[in-house]
Amino acid sequence: MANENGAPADLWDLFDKYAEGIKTIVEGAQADTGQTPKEVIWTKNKAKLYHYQSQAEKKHPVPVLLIYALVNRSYILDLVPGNSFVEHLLNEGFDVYMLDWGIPGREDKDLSFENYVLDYMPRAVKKVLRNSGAEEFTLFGYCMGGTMAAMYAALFPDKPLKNLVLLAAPIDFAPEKSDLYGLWFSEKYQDPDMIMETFGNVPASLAYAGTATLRPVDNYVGAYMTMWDLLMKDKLTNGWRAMNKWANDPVPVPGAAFKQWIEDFYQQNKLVTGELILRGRRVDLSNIECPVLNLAGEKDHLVFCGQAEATMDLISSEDKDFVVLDAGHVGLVMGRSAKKGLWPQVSNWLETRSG
Amino acid sequence: MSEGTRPGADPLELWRRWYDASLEAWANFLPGGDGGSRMDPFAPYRRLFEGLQEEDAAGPEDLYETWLRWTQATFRTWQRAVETGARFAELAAPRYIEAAGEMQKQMLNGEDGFPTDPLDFHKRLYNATSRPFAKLADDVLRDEDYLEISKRSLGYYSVLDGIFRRASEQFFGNLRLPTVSDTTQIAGLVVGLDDRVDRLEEMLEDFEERLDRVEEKLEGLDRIEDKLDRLLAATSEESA
Repeated sequence: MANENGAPADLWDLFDKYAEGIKTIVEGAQADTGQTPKEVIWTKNKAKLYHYQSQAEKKHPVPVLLIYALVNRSYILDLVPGNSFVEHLLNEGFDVYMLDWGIPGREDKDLSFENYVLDYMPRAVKKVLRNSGAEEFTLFGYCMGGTMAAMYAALFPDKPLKNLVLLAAPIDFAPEKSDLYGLWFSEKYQDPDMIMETFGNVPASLAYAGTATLRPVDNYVGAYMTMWDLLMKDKLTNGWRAMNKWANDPVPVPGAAFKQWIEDFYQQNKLVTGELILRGRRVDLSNIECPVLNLAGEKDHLVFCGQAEATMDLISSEDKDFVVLDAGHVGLVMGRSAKKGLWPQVSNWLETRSG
Repeated sequence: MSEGTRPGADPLELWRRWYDASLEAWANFLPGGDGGSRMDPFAPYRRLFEGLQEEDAAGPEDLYETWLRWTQATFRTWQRAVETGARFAELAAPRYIEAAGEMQKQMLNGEDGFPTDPLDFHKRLYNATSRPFAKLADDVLRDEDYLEISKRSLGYYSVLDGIFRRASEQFFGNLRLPTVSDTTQIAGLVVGLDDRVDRLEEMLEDFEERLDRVEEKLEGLDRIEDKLDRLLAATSEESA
């Protein structure tokens, strides 16, 4: 019980809450994430291809393949029951698959975008089509996964790719568009070779610091102020715990992919200049002709609207939409704003294009 | 120290030369090292010896004088540090003023009066200070000096990490114990094997698909053959 000021009335209750708060700060929040039933239909190295199971009737024959970034865990797309984008798509009658990159080990330090876009993704696509019996599919990429999805779409523009959905996908890495990351990752201040030689992969802690330091007061203090406040008012939800767990659960980034990300994308902006070459093949975004839904968050401080919007001028699709939602990078896919914003936006757009 | 002193004869001179040489060596060893522009982590010691040298090459006469010289020397270092930090202070000052003003508003002028509950106190403190401190953090994170220091710190860390990693690899290797690189090597082999199996599976799947297509074509041929048979039968019936 709590009194009207938010302070617990009972001393033991207060102690329990302090204990839980301190445990959360020290060990991180605990929550059962990624609970939607799924079947692993393919694995390669650490990557797993999930096929989500649902009781809901399948209304759309075109399956959706979700791709997430190499930086964090993909369960943000299937956070907790009731707060899961995957669950929403299933309820709307879509057949949903997700390619989870897994946690790279030291032996994966040489994995680059060549491997991910030219080896893993086409293979996963084949498996999706085989498993679903469909001839076409929708590719959905979030964050760096969106950039990878755009690269795939540029390299394999014909059938079976039917639709492309990009969510907070950075395409234009010009320093004036990428703010702090543009400055930090400039040649003057960032030497990816040094990181790669020292660590092999970028350690998870360093990857986390790189994101959290963008807003240190919010991430290192504010999050826990909110926690104490909610805890004392008996309002700390499973959703908050799951979100906090995800935010503090980064994965190492393969060294070679990190080096490419910094040099080819942030330092040389090759995707925009059309100079990006993957295993001898030029990644030309103008090859993309399929319907494209491009979404960005107005409050996103990791991927700015301008970085995502640039896609619209680079692709050749006639059926293309750019939508800016009132949310931050994570709020785009989870929470109340997502339920009202992104989720219906994506399912409505796909509904008419998944026949 | 007089200019004519032989190197090695004076411990101070010896120390200074060793220090300069080793600093330069380290600085050049670091990635992008140019020696001259590196941060000087031993500045207080340097200042001490410089301070001593400025006074008299003969060294201190008594303990009090030594102490005095040490104080003067280190004071100059701190003064320099303060001057360097002045930029930070310059950035921080307006934010502190902003935070202080906001704190006064939140703590004293609020409708509920001064917070008596510790949680409420901290909440108000955070609400008052978070915005100005976030702005300060943002200013610092964009500051060229900070970025330069971060880059160098990461450089130093990576050098140290490399040294310790190599040393521990060697140490455990000598003890015939498996090291991280051993397990990485084995894991690499497993990943390679997994990749080959996956490629084989892909080839089999492609073969299966082609076989399905051939079967479909054969079925089509069977149907044509049936039709031909029926046609032949019909023609022979007609002719009969």
